[in-house]
Amino acid sequence: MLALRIAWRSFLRHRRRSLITASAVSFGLGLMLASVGIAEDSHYRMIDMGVKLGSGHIVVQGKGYQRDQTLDYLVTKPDEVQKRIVGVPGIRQIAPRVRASGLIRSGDTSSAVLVSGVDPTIEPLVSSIADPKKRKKGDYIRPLAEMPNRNWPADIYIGSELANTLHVGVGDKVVLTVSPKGGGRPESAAFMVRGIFRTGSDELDAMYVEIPIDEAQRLLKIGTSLTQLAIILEDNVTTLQTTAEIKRRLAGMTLETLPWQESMKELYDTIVIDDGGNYVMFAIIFAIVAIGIFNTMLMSVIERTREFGVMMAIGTNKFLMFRIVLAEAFVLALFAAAIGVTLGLGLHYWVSSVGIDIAKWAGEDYQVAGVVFDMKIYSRLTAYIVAKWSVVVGGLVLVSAIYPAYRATRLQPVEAMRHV
Amino acid sequence: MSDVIVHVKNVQKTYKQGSIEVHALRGVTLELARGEFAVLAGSSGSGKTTLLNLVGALDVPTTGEIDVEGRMLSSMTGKDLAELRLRRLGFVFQAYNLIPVLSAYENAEYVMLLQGEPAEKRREKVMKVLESVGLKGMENRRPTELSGGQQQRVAVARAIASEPALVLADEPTANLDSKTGSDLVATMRKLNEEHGITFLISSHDPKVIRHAARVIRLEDGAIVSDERQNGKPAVGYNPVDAATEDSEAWRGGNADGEDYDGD
Repeated sequence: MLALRIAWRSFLRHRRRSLITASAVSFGLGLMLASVGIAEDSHYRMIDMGVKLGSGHIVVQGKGYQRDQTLDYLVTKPDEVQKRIVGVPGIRQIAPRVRASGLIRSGDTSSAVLVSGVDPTIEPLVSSIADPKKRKKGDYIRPLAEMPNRNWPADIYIGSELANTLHVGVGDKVVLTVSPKGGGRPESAAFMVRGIFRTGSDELDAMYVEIPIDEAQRLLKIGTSLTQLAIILEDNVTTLQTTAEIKRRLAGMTLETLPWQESMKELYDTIVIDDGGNYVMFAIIFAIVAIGIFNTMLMSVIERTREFGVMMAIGTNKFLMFRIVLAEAFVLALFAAAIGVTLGLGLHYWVSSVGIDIAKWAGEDYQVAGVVFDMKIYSRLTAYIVAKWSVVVGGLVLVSAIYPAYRATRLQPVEAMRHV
Repeated sequence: MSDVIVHVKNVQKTYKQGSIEVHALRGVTLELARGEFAVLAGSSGSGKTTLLNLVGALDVPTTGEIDVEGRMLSSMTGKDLAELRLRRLGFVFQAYNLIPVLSAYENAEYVMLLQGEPAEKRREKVMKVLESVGLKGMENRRPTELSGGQQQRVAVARAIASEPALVLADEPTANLDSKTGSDLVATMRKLNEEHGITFLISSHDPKVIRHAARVIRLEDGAIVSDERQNGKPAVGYNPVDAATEDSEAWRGGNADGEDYDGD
């Protein structure tokens, strides 16, 4: 308490110096929080988009499918899987999917595509592609059971680039050819273009089609098997722990359960590299903060050599001297953290409410790992992130004050008291 | 406890300034009895402050020994010395040397706080001691809000509040005007008489010397006289040429504090 009292008074006594140093630390922390907020939000969006366009937060698929994406590795008992994982906390939706490569043809024009058999009643709840906002024309596909006439061709949902290539529009007929399981003659079927989407991703818009899952299973001759079950969670935070729980529940089945970090490795690596870049920037901010604090505390100790000499002469031991200097750094850190957090949160609220338009720098469509992002950046901060970085910066302030504090303990009272 | 509070035995202190050796003290031997009010007199550079610093365990002699309350300083660790300064010694410095960020009350309380005295006891003592040095009503003022004399009174209050065995005061009146200086010395003398606190004061100020029961004169780092104010020979007197005397010799001297009287 004595150390803190002296520290607080010293802080107030040298107001200008304290404020200048504290503001440097605050500015560093504020900027750091703002940039963490933006990075967190962009990562959140990347993950959200990746999850919605790709294979969910967690994917359950036949063991070996990740390495070799063929029909040799299927989820043969999807009902059993569903039964086992029902009730796992945090799961929002489970989307069954069948994926295979195929060839689409209209008239004389044909194109290679990735065919995705989906459940048309579930997909709009979990996928961005099925999202009406991404739909350029028409409607989303209907389940076979809801077709007005069973003799009509099933619906197909295609990307805008593919529609251009094939010169087709909504209501036109296309023929899809796939290789069924076990080889043999390719299977073809006619489909009616039900809707055209545009995600902004060249890859998806030119090469991806969705058809009703039962039609896909029929063409591929895989019965009720699936290539994957995409699991969408309430919150990405629980991905790894939910993955572990699902793995536990599916033990004994020849399946692989992968979090998005593994199933969408490219996206994950992009985020890790981005984080790495941020940490380099933070290290520079840390260095500036540390040098500032070190300088200020050392100056404070040198300036108060005489005062410290007297304190030691009248019986202050070295440990208390050390604590007095550290306490001053602590007061400085506390003050700076309070201002820094206020500044950081202010920037956070501004960015998250107004958004920063990056279209002029990044171009209209910004893609990472095949995923397209909004051209406006926002900020996302949690109490944990704010607390974590405040503690890191506060800790840095204390660490920077260790040498000055040590120096104070090395003073010889007689010499120190001669100091002017 | 022994009646001799300080034994300085044949102490020399040499400073090196580059290749030149400066002999600040040249074989000083001295005894101080409990309850004395002694003044180290001498001109600037005579070694007064050096001797006070050595007795106060703030510095170490080049040769010789000092013991305070029967404990040999050279055999004590840095921590023990800090503890001795904290619990048994009080210091008053020439340039006030208060802790600038603490109020008069807090400065006076500081040593007791370090000693771990309970709050109630601290409060009682600090109020009493501030009153006794004439600072009642100024408890909350910071050093910058006090005059030089008032600051030095706070320093005295700080030195005596914890009831040390010995107060070492280095030129306490040097920066004060005549009237303030006289008042301060009178205050210290009163504390000595009423509470039996031993004072060893370095000064060349006649006002201080006038109040002293014993005056030890230093010249060029050696004691040249050690006298009671009534003219009796000094206790433990050790002239320059006796610097190398066997320690037995001065031990035989009269170190009692009984045979001096006040001024």
